[in-house]
Amino acid sequence: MPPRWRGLLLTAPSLAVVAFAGGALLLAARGSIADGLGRGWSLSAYAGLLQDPAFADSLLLSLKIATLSTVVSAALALAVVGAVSGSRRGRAALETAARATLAVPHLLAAAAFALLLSGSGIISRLTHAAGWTDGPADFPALVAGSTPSAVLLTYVWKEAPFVTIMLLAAYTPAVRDQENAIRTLGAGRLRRLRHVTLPLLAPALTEACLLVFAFTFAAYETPALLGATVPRALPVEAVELYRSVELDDRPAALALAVVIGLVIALAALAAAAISRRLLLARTGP
Amino acid sequence: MPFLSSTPAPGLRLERITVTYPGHREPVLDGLDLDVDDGRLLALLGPSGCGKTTTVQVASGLLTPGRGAVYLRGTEVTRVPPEHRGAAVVFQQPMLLPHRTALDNVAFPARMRGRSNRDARTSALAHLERVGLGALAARYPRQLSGGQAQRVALARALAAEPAVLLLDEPFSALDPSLRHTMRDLLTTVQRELAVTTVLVTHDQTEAAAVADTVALLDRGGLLQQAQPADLYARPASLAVARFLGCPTALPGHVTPHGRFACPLGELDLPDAVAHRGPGHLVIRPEAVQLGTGPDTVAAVVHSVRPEGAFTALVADTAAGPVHVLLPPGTPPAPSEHVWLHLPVAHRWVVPRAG
Repeated sequence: MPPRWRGLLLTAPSLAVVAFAGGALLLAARGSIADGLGRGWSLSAYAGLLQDPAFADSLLLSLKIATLSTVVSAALALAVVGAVSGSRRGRAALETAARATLAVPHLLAAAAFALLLSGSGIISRLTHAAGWTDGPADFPALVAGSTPSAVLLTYVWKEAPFVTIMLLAAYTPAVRDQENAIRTLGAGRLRRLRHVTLPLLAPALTEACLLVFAFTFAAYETPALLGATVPRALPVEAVELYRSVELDDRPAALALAVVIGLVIALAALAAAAISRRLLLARTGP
Repeated sequence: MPFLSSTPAPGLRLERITVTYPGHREPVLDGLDLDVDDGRLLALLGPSGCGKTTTVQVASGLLTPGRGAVYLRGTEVTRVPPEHRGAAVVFQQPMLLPHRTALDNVAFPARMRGRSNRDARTSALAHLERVGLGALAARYPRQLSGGQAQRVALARALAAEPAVLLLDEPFSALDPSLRHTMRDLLTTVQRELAVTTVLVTHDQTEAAAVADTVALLDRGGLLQQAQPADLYARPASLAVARFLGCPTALPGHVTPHGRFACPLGELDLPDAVAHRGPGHLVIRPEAVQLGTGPDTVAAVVHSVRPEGAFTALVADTAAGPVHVLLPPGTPPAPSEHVWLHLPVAHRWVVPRAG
């Protein structure tokens, strides 16, 4: 088979995914500018979003959820990978635990956290039984409260293992050898992390962070189950508008979908720029 | 504390080191004792899998032995972590930080010790100049050849001002001409700084060329430790003799009068042979010559094969085969009757194994 055809064949699955996502985004974009019953086009849906303070609140909330989930998951994953890096057994145990967590669906995880953290949930009851709180009203509103605590906890519980798996895959014997080399030159744990582990794991970390950010920014079920009703996360808002009985709301719903797609595309561009910079930093100019 | 080269160096001592890797029954190091004199270079020689690299890992602190103790300059450091031990390692691969220039790589150990960036870089430049790479200080590792990168790695290890410098086959990935250059560089730098050094190698020529002392390891134990010339001339056992390229071993026994009795008769031995009783007479192939006269034995040529500019010949005697390395010339043909001259000064007897 000619090399060109072989290359095309090998990249076909990823090209198909990109084409599917791009096609869906184009369809959403077309729907978002439809005017009335397809008589023309208009940007009124976008203008409406810009004039609606609820949109800004939703956008900020989604950005907050995605950014915090990504940063905390990455920090936790780095910490645990760094902690077990010297132990083969520790590494195997961590890998097993991370894989087990990955297998739990997000919806199930969100439901479990709802049962645990809601006002009438298990922890609330336990704290009441222990005499630490007077009742459900005294328990902090972690579910559907003003801060998306339960959403963040669910995402961190699910995404930190994912980042861990990505980092463990990149933590090759070559990284370990580099760490050992500078260890004999006087570098302690933190300096090994700064000078070897982080620079060598950074590409994998960047990829993992992008995936976590994109998922937590665009996913519906967890903020729908555990988030507040006002403001709602952007994907929840989009789905609710799309399912509205008012067909006039549909362009706004699709405009929200386009916004979500654009934010993720921007994040992907930023990740690509960071990756290029990291590659330069790793190998010199 | 380590990393202080101004204090007198007590050298390296490994005492009854035993290491067994998880999942293995046999220890890779089995009660190993090893001493390296202060400021001297010891070559750790042995076949693959004999425990050379494990020894370096134990000495550097990257591996904690199951039993035994490690001493640096008279202080026990068995449980001291590598970053505080003062044993710098140069590995087979340079292991330079790819995102830092050669200068910054060499400045790295000084920065780890809290020295200012300017001080560390000034000192690093001096180390780079010592290994002949001052002009390439601004280059990144990927812009250096294999030999240059390994020289930077050596400079970096020296910049750590280690109590002991451990070199784990650092030249094995280089081509032969570069290896010679690196050997010369290592010898010069090591003598100049008088840093206690352990060089792991499986190349006997390399070991003999650079080392003050050679330690021969096999199956996790020390076979013999001696100066290179002594190791070649006076092997302690048949295993040492064979590993060092001396395949001739004629069985017999040393008489109470210090002569070697074998099917060839009673042969004279040098006075240095203290062994008495059953043993093998060993003699290096390059010491044996063709010719008649005293100290010769009759032989029939068994095989002849070229070995570079020399000719390797095996001749059968009444006591067994004798290996000969002949200088350039016309060698005898197989089945030809010859006389082999076995100079008394080059004869040696090792005890019979078991």
